[in-house]
Amino acid sequence: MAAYILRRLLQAIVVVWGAATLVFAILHLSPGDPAVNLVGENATEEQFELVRESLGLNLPLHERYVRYLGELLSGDLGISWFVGQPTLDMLAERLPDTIELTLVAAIVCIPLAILLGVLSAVWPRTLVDYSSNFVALIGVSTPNFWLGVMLILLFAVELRWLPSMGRGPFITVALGAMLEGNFEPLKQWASHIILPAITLGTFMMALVTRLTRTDIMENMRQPYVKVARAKGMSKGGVIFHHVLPNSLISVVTFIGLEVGTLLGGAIVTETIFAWPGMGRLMVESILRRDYPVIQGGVLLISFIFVFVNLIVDLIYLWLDPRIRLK
Amino acid sequence: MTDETVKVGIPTTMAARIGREIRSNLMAQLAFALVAMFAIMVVFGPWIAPHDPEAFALMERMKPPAFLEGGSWSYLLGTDTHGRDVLSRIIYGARISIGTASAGVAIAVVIGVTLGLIAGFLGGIWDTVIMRMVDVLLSIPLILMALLVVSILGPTIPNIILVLGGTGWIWHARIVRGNALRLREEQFVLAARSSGTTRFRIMLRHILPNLLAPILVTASMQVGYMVILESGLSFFGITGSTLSWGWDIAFGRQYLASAWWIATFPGMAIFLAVMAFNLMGDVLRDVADPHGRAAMT
Repeated sequence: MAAYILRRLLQAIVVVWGAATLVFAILHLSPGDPAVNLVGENATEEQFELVRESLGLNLPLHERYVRYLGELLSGDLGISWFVGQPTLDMLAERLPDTIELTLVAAIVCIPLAILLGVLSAVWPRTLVDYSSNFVALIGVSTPNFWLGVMLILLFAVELRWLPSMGRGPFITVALGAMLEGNFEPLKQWASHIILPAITLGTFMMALVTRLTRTDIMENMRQPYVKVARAKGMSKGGVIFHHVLPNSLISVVTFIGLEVGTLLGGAIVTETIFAWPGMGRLMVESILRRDYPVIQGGVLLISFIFVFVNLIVDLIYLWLDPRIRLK
Repeated sequence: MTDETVKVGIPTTMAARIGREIRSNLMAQLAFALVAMFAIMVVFGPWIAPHDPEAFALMERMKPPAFLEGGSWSYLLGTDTHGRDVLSRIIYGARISIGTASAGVAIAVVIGVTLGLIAGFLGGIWDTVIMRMVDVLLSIPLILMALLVVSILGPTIPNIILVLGGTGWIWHARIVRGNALRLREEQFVLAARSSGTTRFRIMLRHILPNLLAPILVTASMQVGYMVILESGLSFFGITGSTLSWGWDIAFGRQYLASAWWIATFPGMAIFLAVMAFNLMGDVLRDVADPHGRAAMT
């Protein structure tokens, strides 16, 4: 088992290194000189060389790569070319907003998805099943950027119930005020986060609904269900005590694998709703070719993805003896 | 089994089974009707569009859709702030959005099937390297990768196709690898190997034909996904053409309060297109693999 954990850890490191190399290659092998972008077209040759030298762009490619990896190993993500702040600080400042939004989206959407999936698996080929399939089909087919715009049109422009952009106080602040009896910050928080969370969570909800339904239906055909039914357990009891815990394992794996989709969705959602998270920082940095921030951000996102999945795998090891014994 | 039972059973050819599905299943009818509608828009767009999608008509600015007060039947879905016909832009946009997505999927299929077969059938170091490449691409959100590559290489349609294909192949590689691993142990492959067939020939003549159905299913669903991705890029302004559904949504977003139809209808077009390709994928899957044997995801 220790060997297994070690192997998975090594794999995770290889993947993160691969992502770091890939983004380096995309940025540094592409035609065009990023220094031009920085100093402008009308700069003198001297200014231009000065910038290239100070950013290390005058070095040959392999030296730049070795230097980049060396800095990464020492935890240095470089300094933003445009803002002048360390990349790590910029990312650390924005990351909590993205995590907050992503978690709220997951908490709103995943329980609903599991409920819909269970209902349609319990009553297949009924009105319940068709409606839940239909909701899931709408969910996977709706592009999140359009959903965001439509929600703004309905709730902010037409009904004027909710703000169309920005964020309220941070959740911890809102909860703190609530404990002191002041509910205003919590209301502010909720009114700002609800539309982005729905925009971000809908696609995921649809995918999880479909997966839960298929997985439960598959599990219902297993011999252990027949045994439980034969000894007199009710259908509902079998589902909640035997089938659902088994299916939740696949659902959790799936959600782990879809963390990338959620973070990708956050990039779009944050841009539409002016949510001050990491996704928006990435878009801004890509548009102004801020190489250190792009590299650091992609690396961080890849790291989050890889380690969430590593943790999911390790939790199984602990939960599921079949995997542990293999 | 007698001849008679074969006759009353499920039709044997794929085309016949699809035909049966279309005759009997409402979802299949909807899927193929929608796909046919978009195919017509892609192929015959210039002939069926009522107006020039890029022509400014200053007298016709911000006309609401025909069914609202002030609308006219000449502009069924209204006009935008420059007097351009929303419907005509949607019809022309189908070419860019669905065309780009389909081309990207075609590239993804070629790369993914090749690498998936190599990984699944040759195994060993090939498998390790290819699957780690898949893991790396899986760990970076597609939209981020696409935004990065297209904005660095330049926003042109060939570059968008390139990045869609260059990242989308991991879907096919994983499915092909999984199925190739399963098929590798089958009797007919062992028989071919023991009769001296080369590994290359086995992959091409014995394994690949068995994979056509799952590849087709995945490709169909991926077209829908790629339409969203292409529109997403256009929405961010990173587009090879301003005649794209995503670009129209980004443009119309500024006029939500005064002319909601500019952003709403192109989004519905994306929604219907994605739904059509998803439903078609579902139908193909049911037809190709009614018992759910092959690994499709």
